[in-house]
Parts: sequence; structure tokens; C-alpha cells
Amino acid sequence: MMADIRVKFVSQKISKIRWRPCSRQGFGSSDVFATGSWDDESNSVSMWHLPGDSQGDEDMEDDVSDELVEKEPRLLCETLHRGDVQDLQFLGMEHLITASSSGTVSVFRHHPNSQVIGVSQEWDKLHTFPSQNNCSCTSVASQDETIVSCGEDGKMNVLIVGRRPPLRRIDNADSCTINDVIFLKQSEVVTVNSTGQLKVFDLRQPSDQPTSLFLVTGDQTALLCIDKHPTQHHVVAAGGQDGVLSVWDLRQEKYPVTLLEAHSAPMWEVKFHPNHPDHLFTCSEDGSVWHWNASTVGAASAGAGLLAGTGAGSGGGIAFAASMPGGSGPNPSHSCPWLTLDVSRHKMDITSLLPTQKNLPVNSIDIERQILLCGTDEEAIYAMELPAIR
Amino acid sequence: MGHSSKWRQSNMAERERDLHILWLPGTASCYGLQATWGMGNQLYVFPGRNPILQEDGVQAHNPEATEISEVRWDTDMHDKLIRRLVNQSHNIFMMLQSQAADASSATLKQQLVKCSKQYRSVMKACSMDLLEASDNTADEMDIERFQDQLKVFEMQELIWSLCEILFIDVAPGGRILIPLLEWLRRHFPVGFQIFKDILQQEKPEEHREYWECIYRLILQGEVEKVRSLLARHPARQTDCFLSMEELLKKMPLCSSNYKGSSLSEFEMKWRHWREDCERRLEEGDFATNKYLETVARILCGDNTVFSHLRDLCQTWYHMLISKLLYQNPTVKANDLQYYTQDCLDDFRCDGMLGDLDNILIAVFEFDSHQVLKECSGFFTSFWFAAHLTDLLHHGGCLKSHRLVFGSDLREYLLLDYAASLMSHKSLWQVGVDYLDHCPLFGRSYLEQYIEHMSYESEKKAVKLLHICERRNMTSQVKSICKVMGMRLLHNDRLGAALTWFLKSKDVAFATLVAEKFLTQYSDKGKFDNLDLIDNLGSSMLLSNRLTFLGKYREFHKLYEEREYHAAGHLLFSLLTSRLAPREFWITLLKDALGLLQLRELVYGSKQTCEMMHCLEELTKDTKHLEAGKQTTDLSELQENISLLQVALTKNLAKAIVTEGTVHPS
Amino acid sequence: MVSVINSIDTAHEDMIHDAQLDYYGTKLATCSSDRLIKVFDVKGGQQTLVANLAGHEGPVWQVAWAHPMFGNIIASCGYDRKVIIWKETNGTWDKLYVYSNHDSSVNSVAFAPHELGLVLACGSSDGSISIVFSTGDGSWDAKKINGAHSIGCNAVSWAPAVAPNALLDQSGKQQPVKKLVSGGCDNLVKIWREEDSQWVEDQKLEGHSDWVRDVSWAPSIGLPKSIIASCSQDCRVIIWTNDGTFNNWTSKVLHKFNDVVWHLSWSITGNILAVSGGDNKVSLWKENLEGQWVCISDVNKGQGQITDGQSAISS
Repeated sequence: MMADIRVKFVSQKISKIRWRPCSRQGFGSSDVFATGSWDDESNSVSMWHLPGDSQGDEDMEDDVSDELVEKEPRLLCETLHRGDVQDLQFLGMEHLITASSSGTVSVFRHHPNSQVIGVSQEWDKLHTFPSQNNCSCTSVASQDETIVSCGEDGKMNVLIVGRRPPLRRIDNADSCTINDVIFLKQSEVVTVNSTGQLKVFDLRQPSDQPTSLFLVTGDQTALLCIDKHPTQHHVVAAGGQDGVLSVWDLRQEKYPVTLLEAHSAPMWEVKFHPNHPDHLFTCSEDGSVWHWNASTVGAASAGAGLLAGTGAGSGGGIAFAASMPGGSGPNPSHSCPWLTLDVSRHKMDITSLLPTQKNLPVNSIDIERQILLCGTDEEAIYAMELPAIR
Repeated sequence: MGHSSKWRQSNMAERERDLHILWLPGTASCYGLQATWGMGNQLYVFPGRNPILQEDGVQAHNPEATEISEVRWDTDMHDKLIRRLVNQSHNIFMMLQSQAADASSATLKQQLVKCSKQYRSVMKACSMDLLEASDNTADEMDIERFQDQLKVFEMQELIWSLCEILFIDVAPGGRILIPLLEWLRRHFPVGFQIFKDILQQEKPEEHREYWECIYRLILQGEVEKVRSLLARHPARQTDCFLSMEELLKKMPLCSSNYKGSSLSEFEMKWRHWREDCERRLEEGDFATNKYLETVARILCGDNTVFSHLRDLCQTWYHMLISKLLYQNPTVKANDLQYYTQDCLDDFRCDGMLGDLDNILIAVFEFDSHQVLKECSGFFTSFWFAAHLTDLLHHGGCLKSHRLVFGSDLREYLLLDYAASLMSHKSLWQVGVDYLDHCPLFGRSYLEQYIEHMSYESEKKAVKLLHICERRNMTSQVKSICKVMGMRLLHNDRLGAALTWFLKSKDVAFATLVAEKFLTQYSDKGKFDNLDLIDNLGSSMLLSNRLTFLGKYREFHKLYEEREYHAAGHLLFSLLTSRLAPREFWITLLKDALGLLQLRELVYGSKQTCEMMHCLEELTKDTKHLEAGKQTTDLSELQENISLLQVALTKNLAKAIVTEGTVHPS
Repeated sequence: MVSVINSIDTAHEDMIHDAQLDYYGTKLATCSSDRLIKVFDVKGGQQTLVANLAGHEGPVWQVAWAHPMFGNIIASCGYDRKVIIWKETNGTWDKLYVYSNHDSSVNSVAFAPHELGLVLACGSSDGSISIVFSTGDGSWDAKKINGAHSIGCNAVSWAPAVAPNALLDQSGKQQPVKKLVSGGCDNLVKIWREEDSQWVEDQKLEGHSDWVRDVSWAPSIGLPKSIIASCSQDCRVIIWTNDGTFNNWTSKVLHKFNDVVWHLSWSITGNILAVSGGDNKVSLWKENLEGQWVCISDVNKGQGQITDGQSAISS
């Protein structure tokens, strides 16, 4: 599966890259994306346009005849961001939320006509340490007008766009650093922390305690990222500091369903393809981006039993016993290949997408339709066309 | 090799370098100057003198005398536009290192050529960016800066491409004239530009520069183009034109029939052709047209005509190649240096020789070492010299001898380049890779840089950790974990701090945190960080205190689940194995109280005795602890002790009775 | 090309005697004759004053930062014969400990490598050197080297803790190197080592003909050799090298300047030496390919620039 790869060197290390969501009708595919940078004297949030293929684009005024340059991502606008961009999420088509290493959460508004981007709301120093050190806000997640932020201080904040004071603050959500948070359902979020625990919080409950807690036995390895299955929200995938990909079924207690040895370095992001959930993508500090294709893994085997996976990275796989006895597997008609990987019968198709010899870390990925975006520490943006997705 | 050295302005040995001097504005000379190091290539400089010399009471009324200036150098590669070059060339560099390690000598040459071309193409791309930026800005200073950098790139491209021809992409048999001609044409495009211009004219021969163009093209061996120009001349049917046309058509080197012929074949052909040229010239074929005569003299390799046309050659190396084309087309690369003198002579009188010329002379002399030293002295940034040196090194063109300073030229330059990268807030990650490839000093330099690198967020700490772990830099790993742990400890994030101490297996501090947890429990009656403590797993074994903490929580859980016997046993073993810290015994015993007050018997007589021993020990001890405790605490303590004594005694009695009772079968 | 990037207006009311960047380059501590120590946050190109430390009763001569694993700790020494150790907790700086066991001005203070714990050395005009260390439970202790230099000690500097040929103890782990170098008014540079919990003189290096103003032990760069630089009232900077095989030091005069040289310091990788002196110049020296110490430059011959206004770089 040869991918058509476009690279642009942008003179800033990219920490987060996100497609702008398509308009609701879902026509066409998105061609605008945002990036956030980190670890520089001054960091920025930028909006880019990725030219389509053969038809070219009316907006473009490029007079450069070079084919490659025409297809390169083009900067639309950018603005300064105080602190490293630790997380970046779109809120609708026009707004961006960022989590900063200074502890601030900001909402940016992108004006598509004037191609200007600026801060529209900011919660300053939402995450702090008692001393003078900076405390990073590590992740933000949004659902409608609600934003949840979490940080190195182990706190979780619930914010409403447009309202100044936070709706709710959970001061001791975690005794360690929370690395990532996503919304599962309307008022339910799941977090991962630096001791390798997954916690589900129900925001409607007055209690500050999580409703459930999951972890990998005996292991203290941090979990750095999490993503949920687009249709089956009880299935989540998380990436660890040891490069291991774990798949969890949140209806079952405590332990992951599958552990796959993947990268040889911390895994920074994991993404399910929003339209083809049998495809999963991961990127890592080891400079590689992997495409996990579970669509070749056939229908689910009935019931629970040995659930295992194969990781192509280190050549080893970990067979992991199913959780509770009697906890039968999901109804075969709603099967999810991620939960029922059988190592002896099906090898998952795993491809490394970037050309080899990539050395500097890939911090962030996002997938939309056929095009995968990557942001790296070599100050480059990659846009890869993946024809083989369904 | 000796005679061309006299043309160099500096001597063969190390280029003498001058002082870095920085004058700060507004400082009078009585204040002196002092500096302190910043990070990497950075200094903080301020007026100051060592106290001993200072006269007492000299007040500085001048506010600028208390100003500190931050000074940096080697920041050329930090400009936003040029930064791309850093990243792109880094990719090429890394690829080259791994290819050079794996490849056999046959494929290596191909790969080296490919890399060389890639380096040049990223330079070109950067130049295009600079050009575009220069056109799109109105800022005078920026424009000047861009233009300066463009000139630098031009020179670098010139040098690099020549090195590529002579050192790396060496033509088989060492015959380098064709590649040199291509090189010439690329870098002296004026002739071609005029040519294009002329072609568009209706009456080309009336173009002001018609003949000049022909000369230029002929000097570059562009025979076909010259023929096409001559074919447009109205007098093309005259004898002299026809004669010239014949000559040009038959010229062996630049027509397509050159390929495939062996050296001796070619030499013969060329000699014949040359004799033909000379004959025609002598016979006056071109006497009617002085321009054509000049052309013929060029074809005959007449030295004087080259000198006349010096201006069209623009530089001595153009003239060198042009002369060689018509005087010695089969010249070998190694012999080029013997021809440079004459050309330099021609140009020297105008005093136009500069650093660039010295570098090129060194290239023609195959003195790669000298080339690189001159380059590193001439260009302000080390980027060029470092990458070119590395390329030549892998091509075997550098005698890699160990110099006095400890290693070879390649490492010296790579270290300098890496230093400029490590001094940058963002580009240090690229610098790390370069240091990896400095075999002697790279590692210790990297260790120093990493030790001093700041990490504000956990994310950066994780990245640094990974870099250190991959390279087995264990003391740096420990240091990073320690600093992160300490920072979190100071910020009261005990749980997070513990994860860092566990990671670095720091027993002392893991114990410290565990003790803090226990103190918290003693003070507040509950644990704060249960999500962590309850799930320590095997990492609790790192420190005794931590193990105790974990086990204690196990005890709590057993108690909550009403597994009283198991809980009781656990508690007992915690006490008697002395795993529990002395300060905590009273808490444990208080917990035991609850068990002792149950109806069922948890502790046997032996166990009860042991616990009474513990209590005794504790009682004796508290006498020593009196000094630290307030009176209320103490009385509470004594109350607890009495309660325990009673409960234990009761339990002992119960136990003896139970154990002694014989149950009827 | 050297250029001035930024200026920090310290607002000290008198001459600045020392400025030191912390381990990570994020904070700058300055001290002055106005008896104050000021701490600036210099991250991200900004300079903001974060603390004013008042406590000395006379000019403060030097400041030093401890390794960040101990927290934010600064040591300062001054004319008032005191060494004060300051610590930052939750944003405020307070005195942690005051050492006042010297009979006259303390001229120099330096923290030891963190492998040795929280330890510092200070040299005084009373000719002695004190090694002050934290005992771990919040209290401090000190050892004194009396009569280290007659007339006075002007500078102290610690050896790097790890040397490639460091001694291995019984468990096979490398013992940290516990040595320091000092310079004094007796024109001598002396090296000291700890033996049986006492500090003894290890070497006496003669070469200067006037007071030694500053000494600095270069960071170790992976070679078995050790390098010390010293500068003196006699306008010379001497580089002392120990090649690691025998315990003898060879000396080489780096340069004879036009005026007194009073300060020198090594870059963190130990390959560049910055020398400051009375000739109003700060010069940078580096070992070239042939192992000669030369002053480094960026001059393009034929493009020599002299710009006026902000800064002038002359060739």
C-alpha cells in the first residue's frame, strides 16, 4: 500500500495537529487543519489549507509552477500562543481549544473569510502548583459547549464556553498527572494518568471520585493517550509510555482486553478512523506512525476466552487472559474486532507509514477520510494519502 | 603541489583568528567588563571589576553600568527560513550515516552522490525561499539580510558542486572535463541568457552582444548553440562561415559521438581536429572576419586570446576550464592544479583574489583538509563545513588522522555545529543526533547539555528521559527523575512524585514519600492518594516503607471485607517482622484493638504475648519521645496504651482458655 | 557573528560583582555592592525580577546556584565575612543558613557537584577555605582549611565529580572525585583533596608572579585529562593540564593580556574559555585542531564589519 506523502517543513516543532471537522452535511472532505507548536521561544497556533488533488483550488494564488509546491500545505494564518500547545481540539468549525504548558486553557476563533485567528476566551492559570513552577494543562476535551481540562496538578475542570468561572473543579481527580481526557458520552469522561490508570468520571455525580478505575496489573507505566471507538463507546484504546497499545472494554472490570507491543518508545497519540473503526493509527517518540488494520481479522469468535493480539514492532505479542469468568464476549452481531483478536488465526495487518530512517519523534496524528496528518519534532508536517482504507 | 601555495593569503597552517570583542554602549573604561556563561553559545556580559581592586565607595551613577547584556553567537541557522535547512539536512545526514555504515563500497559511491545532490537541492530550496521572502518584504534590513545569505548560498553551492565533481562523483578514468563544463554552464549563465535573448530577435546578427555571446558560448564549449547562432547570420554562406561551421561540426569533444570512444581514440580525433583548426587559421580562412578569427584562435587554444577575453570569463576558474577544453581536454582531475597558476596570474593583477578563490584553489589541488578548514574559517556558520566534511569523510576523501586536540576534523566541525544547535531552544533535538555521531567527545558533550536542559512540563521530561535511556545515560536518567520528583514533592504532589522515584528506583526518596503518606494518615486518619497506593503492585517492593504502606492498605481492605482472620494475621506479621516503623506501631495496635474486641478469637496466646511485648517496647520508648509531644498527645497515648493493655490481657485469657479447651469429638 | 540580543536593567544601585545563571538557564542571580542579590526570570527572552534578597551587610562578591535537585538554592558571599544560603519555597526566598566563621571578607563561593551532596566551598581574605555541607536533617556543618593561602584566598572551584579514571570502590561503583582548586594572594594555585575526612593539599601549582584572581576547573569531556584555568594580576591566563597518567600538572600560558585579568569561566562543555579583564574585553578562547588555544573569530576577510550604535565588532 503505497501512500502518497506530502511534506512541509515549517520551522516549528509541531506538538498537535488536527483536522477541522467537516460541515454537518458531510460533503467533501475537510481540507483545513490546525497545528500547535511547542518548545520554542515563542509558540504558535496555525491554520493550514491542504490543496486537493488534480482539480487544484480556486483560492490558491500560487504562481509557482512546481507540482510539489502546489500540493504542499499552505499557511492560512497563525497567532502566538503562550506556552507549549499541549493539546488542541476543534469546537465546531470556527473555534479551537488549546491546553497550554502555562496551565491556561484558551479558545481561539478562526475567521475563515478574513483568515485571521485570535483568542476569544481564556481561562488563565487553570492548573497551578503552589510554588512558582509552571503546571501544564495536559489535555482538553469538548462536548457541545462543555470543555473538560486536566493537568499535571491532577485536577479536572469543567468549563462552559462563554462563562468565566469554571462550572466545576475536581481538585483531587488524580494523585498523579492526568495525561489525556476524552468524552465517552454526554456527561461521562475517561482519563488516563501517569501510573497507567484509566478512570471514568460521571460529571453528573456530585462525588469527586471516579465511577470506575482500570489498570494494567502490577505495572506503573504511564498511559499517555486515549481514543474511543467511534461507534462502540465502551471500547477504548490507550497508548503507554512503554509504547504498548492497550484496548479496553469499559463494561468489564479493571483490566485491558488486549495488550499489543507496538512501538519502542512512548506512544503519543492513538486514533480510530472516524468512519472505518477497524483502522487504528498510532504515533510515537520513536519517529514512526503505524496503521493497524483489523478489518482482516474476521468476525468475532463467540464468547470470551483467550483474547490476544500481535504486535509487529518487537515481534512479540502478549496473550492476555480475558477478565472475569463468565463474562461472555459481546453479542457476535455487534462484534468488534478489537476485542476479539486471536493471535493464532489472524494476524492483524500493521503497516509503518512513514519512510524509514525517521528519527525525530512524531507527536501527533489525525485522520480524516483518506488523508492522515502527522506533526513531528523535525519541524515538519506530513500529509499522507491512504487509498487502502476500505 | 608547492608552487600554487604562494597565491594564498593565509598560510597553510591554522588560520590566525582575531579576538571577539564586544563594545557595550555607554560604558566608561573605568568599569571593566565581566562575563558569565549562558546556555550554549550565550554570554551575559556586564561592567564589573573584581572587588579587590575597586576603590571603596565608588558609586555607579550611570544606570547602564548596572545593565547586563545578553550576547549570542553562531545564530545564523536559527532564522526561521534557514531553519528548514537545518531540519532537511539533518534527515540527509542521518540517512547518510546509516548508509555509510551498511553499504559496500560499490553502492556507497552512488549513495554519496545522491546525498550530495540532496544537500545541494535543499540549499537551493532554501535560496528560493529567501528570494521569495526578499521580494515580499519591504523591510530594508531584512532584505539586506536575505541578500547576504543568498550570496553565501551561491558561494556554497559553487564550492560544494565542485567538490562533488572532483571528490565524490568522480568520472571514470578521471576525465572530468565534461562535468566541469556542466558546472561552468550552471554557474555562469550569462551566455545562455543572452543566447535566448538573441534567438528571439528578428535580426540576431544586429544584436549588440551577438559576437560576445558567441565568444561566451564557445568558451563554455556550447558548440551547438554557436552553430545555431552562426546559422542565423546573413553571411552564413560565405567561405569563412562555412569553414567555421565545418570545424564546429567536426569538433570531437562536445558532439554526441564522444560517448563510447576510448581515450586514445579520442585523443587522436582531437589532435586531428586541432591540426585542422590550426591549418585553417594559418591559411587565412577567417581573415575576412575578425570575430570568426577570434573564435578560431580560441579553438586553437591560443593563450593570448584567452587573456583578451578575460572579462568574458569573469573568473580565473572559468578561464581555467575554458582553456583546458581547448588545450587539454583529456586532463585528469589530479593534474588540474598545474594549470591554475596561469589563470590566477591573469586575474591576480586586479587584486580580485579572495577567500572563495583560496578555497577553490584548494579544491583543485585536492587538498580536502585545507578546503574544509578554509570553509570553516570563512563562513560564519558551521553548517556548510560540517556537512561537507562529513560527506567527504564517508567518501574516503579525508585523511582521517587524529589531530592534537583529540579527534579528527570531521568531529571537530560536527561538535561546533552541534553546539550551535544545542544553544537553540528548539533545535537541540537535532543537535542530539549530531552529537551521537561524534565518536570521541559526542557523548560527554551530550551528557553536559542534557544535564543543563530545562524541562518545565512532564512531556519534555519524558522525551529527555527517552533520549537518555536509549543511550544508557543512567546518571542523567537518575538526575531527571530526581529533579522531577523533588519538584513535585515541593508542590505537595506526593503521588506524582512517587511515580518518578519509583521509575528511577530511588529507594531513599520513595521511602520519604511513603513516610509522608503515613504521617498524613496519622494526622488526618485517612489516606489521600488511595488510587495510587492501592495499586502499587510490585513496585511497592522497592522500599521497606513502601511495602509496609502497601501491606497496610491490604490490611484495611481485608478488614473492610470482614476477612478478620486474614487481616489479623497480616497486622501481626507487620508488627512482628518490624516492617512497620516504630512511630506507626501505636496506630497498628489501635487497629488491633478493633480486632481484639471482636467476639471471635483472632489472636492466639502466643501471638497475644508477642503483641504485649511490642506494647512494652513501645511504652519504654515513649518515655524518650516525650520531648517532642504535647501534653494532650501524650495523655491520649497513655490512654490508648492502657486500653490496649486491658484488651490484650483479656484476649490472652480468652486465648488460653480456648486453646486449652478440649472439644468433645 | 556575535550580537547583543537583550539587555537586562538590573536596577542595582551600585556595581555588579557577579551574575550567575542557574543550572537550566532559566534564572539569573546578580549581586552587587548595594548589598542586594537579585533573581531574575530569564525564560523565553523575557526578564522579570522575581526576588530581592537582602541580608548582607556589605558588598556581595559572588553568588552560586546549587543543583536543582535540592530545590532553588543560592549561596552568596560578601565583604561582611558571611556566607548566606538562601532557599525558595512556594515563591518566596528565605535564608536557610548563615555561615560566619571567617575573619574577613569572603571572596568566592562555589557549590560542589551534586554527587557530593549539598556542599559548598568558600575562600576568604583571611587566607582560609571553608567547606560547608548540609548534614541532611536540616543542619549544617563545616570543615576549614586554615592558612590555605597567605594574605588571602581569592577564588575556589570544584573538580567535576566524575572523571574517566576515577577510583572504583569495593562495590565497583565509581567514587565521586572530591577535589577543589583555589587561587590566592600568594600567587599560587593549589589543589585540595579530602583524605580521612580532612582536607589536605594535593598540589601546589606555581606559575603566576602576582595575585591569582580567579581559578576554574574545566568540566570533564570524556578524556582522561583534567584542565584548570587560572588568571592573575600579572595579566596572564595559564592553562594547567593533567593528562591523567601521573599526578603532575603541566602549564601553558594562554596569553599575556594588556591588563589585569580577573575572571574566567568555562562553557558547559568545557571547550571554550571566557576571559574577562581590565582591558575592557571579554575574549573567548578555544582549543583548535592542533591543540593550541586560540582566540576565536567570525571575521570574513574582505567583509570586516564595524557597526556603530548598539555594538561594535571589530576584527
